[in-house]
Amino acid sequence: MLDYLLNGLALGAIFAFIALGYTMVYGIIKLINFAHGEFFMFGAFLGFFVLRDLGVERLPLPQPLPILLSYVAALTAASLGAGALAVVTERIAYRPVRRAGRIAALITAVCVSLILQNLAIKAWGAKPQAYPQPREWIDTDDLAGAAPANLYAVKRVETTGGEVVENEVRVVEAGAALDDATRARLRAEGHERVYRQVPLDRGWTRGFVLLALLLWAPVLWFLVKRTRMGKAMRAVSEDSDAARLMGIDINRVIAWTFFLGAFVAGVGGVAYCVSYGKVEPLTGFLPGMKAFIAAVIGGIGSIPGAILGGLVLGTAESLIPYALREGLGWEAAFAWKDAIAFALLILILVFRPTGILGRAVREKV
Amino acid sequence: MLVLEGVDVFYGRIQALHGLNLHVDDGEIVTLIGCNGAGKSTTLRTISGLLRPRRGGVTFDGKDLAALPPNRIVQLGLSHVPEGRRIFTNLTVRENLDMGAYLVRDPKARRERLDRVFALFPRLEERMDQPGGTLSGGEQQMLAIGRALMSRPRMLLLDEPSLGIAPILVKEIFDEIARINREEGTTILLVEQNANLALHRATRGYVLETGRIVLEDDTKNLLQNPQVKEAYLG
Repeated sequence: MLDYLLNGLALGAIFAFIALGYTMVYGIIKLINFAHGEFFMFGAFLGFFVLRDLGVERLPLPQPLPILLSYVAALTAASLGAGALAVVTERIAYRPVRRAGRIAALITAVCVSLILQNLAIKAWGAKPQAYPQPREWIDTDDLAGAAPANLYAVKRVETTGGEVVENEVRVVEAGAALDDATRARLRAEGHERVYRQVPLDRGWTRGFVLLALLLWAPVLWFLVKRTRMGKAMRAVSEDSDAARLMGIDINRVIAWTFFLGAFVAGVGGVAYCVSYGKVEPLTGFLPGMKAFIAAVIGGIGSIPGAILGGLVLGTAESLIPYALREGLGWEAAFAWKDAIAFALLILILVFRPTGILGRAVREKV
Repeated sequence: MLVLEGVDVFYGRIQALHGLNLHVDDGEIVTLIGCNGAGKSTTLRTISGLLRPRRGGVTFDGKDLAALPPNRIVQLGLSHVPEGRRIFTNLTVRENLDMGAYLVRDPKARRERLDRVFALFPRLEERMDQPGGTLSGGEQQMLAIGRALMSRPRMLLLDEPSLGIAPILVKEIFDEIARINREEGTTILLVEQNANLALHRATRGYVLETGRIVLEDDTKNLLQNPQVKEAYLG
């Protein structure tokens, strides 16, 4: 039970990270940015490359420092990259249609979402790829006793095209004896070092997202309530023409809002893919939808609402199927968790269309 | 100081201003009167850059405004208090005033402006931490004017400052407007439906009818003009 609750909260925290972007962008230009899930996906891919090509897999340093460093690097790249993509997208796709009405902007957003998905397929292939796991490197000379897990090594192979690629190969099976013969064989094959996969403890990933949300919420509160840019965001959100008369450059304020929203989505993207172990161009779709639901549940346009809505949705997705399975003996309950999320959205829309923390706002004519 | 020459403005295909000529000199209070829909607010919105003229020129101290976005126009020292006050209701009074000084980076200068605004409108200081939306109509108008003054403008565009405000506060607000003009030398272009009030406070006036200037004179002459008396002073 507690385990399910923590899982739900951690998933909810990831929804909250994405929902913040939806709600901030909606708050300022009244646009449901359906491409937001793609910023999340883009962040996840950037994190993937940092981890695979620069990070955890390569650094032959004693653990756990390199694991920590490479995750910090991956999160930084993911958040900055997703933020930059959002700023560029806003500039070339949304700004030109800003005054063309909300339907035009909405259609643009759906198109941008499809375009970004397809660009990702073009760039990185449509197949899901395993998200890099941290590795523990061991010098071949230090091997002794019995192998605690499968051991791997990196083998450089020349392809028929003359290209040199690095393949990861399993060199020792779990449980095999690590005696002189094995060490000699590994050295003969040119493996100075071998590694084993270190599965990330679920407790750690859960702890990380919850802690990240706990730290980010007050930072965001400070940014929005106290800084010059944050006040300008609130001013633009309420009355953009009046804000322009104050000398506020609303294009800059809107670009910053997109950046901030996607910045946290990038963090969410890495956290999500680390938790679920894979990444693909459609990674952003379902979490993006769920986060949109979370934003609506919390009250779209409200920042605390996005956080609350995310946590409520994540917990509901975990605890409701759990209750159905334990209470009613319905074994397939977890397969229905997405349907439960969408049913929750419909219920909220019927009984409290403004969301938990949302306020009814009269449309300006 | 401010010159509009042959300005045409359109809303889609509907022409709102027809070849408008208007000028305001340094230190003046000039009023623009006319009925609902005559184009008074359109004129101010064109000057401050919210609307773009299709033809004609708008210059401020010789600088062409027609191509500048509103945030650059504020920077030149021209501040617009829009119709209906348009204060930020979710921001506190203090935050509203901070927004008015958005382009003033120097904290000392901001503090000085704030003290000056509080001296003009002491009620705002009392209500500093209240959300703008909780103020009365008159107080909101004071906030809107105070907010516009935070950028230390050389010229103030005022759109219907008397609209929907208790008569006793209207007098107070107009006294402060006169004081801003007198003590700070701020030039004022005042748009009003309440022609009687406006003509008694301004030095010169324009009468706008369906997007065209039909009369232009010193206010003391306009007050005697039979046409004006008939149509606007009732």
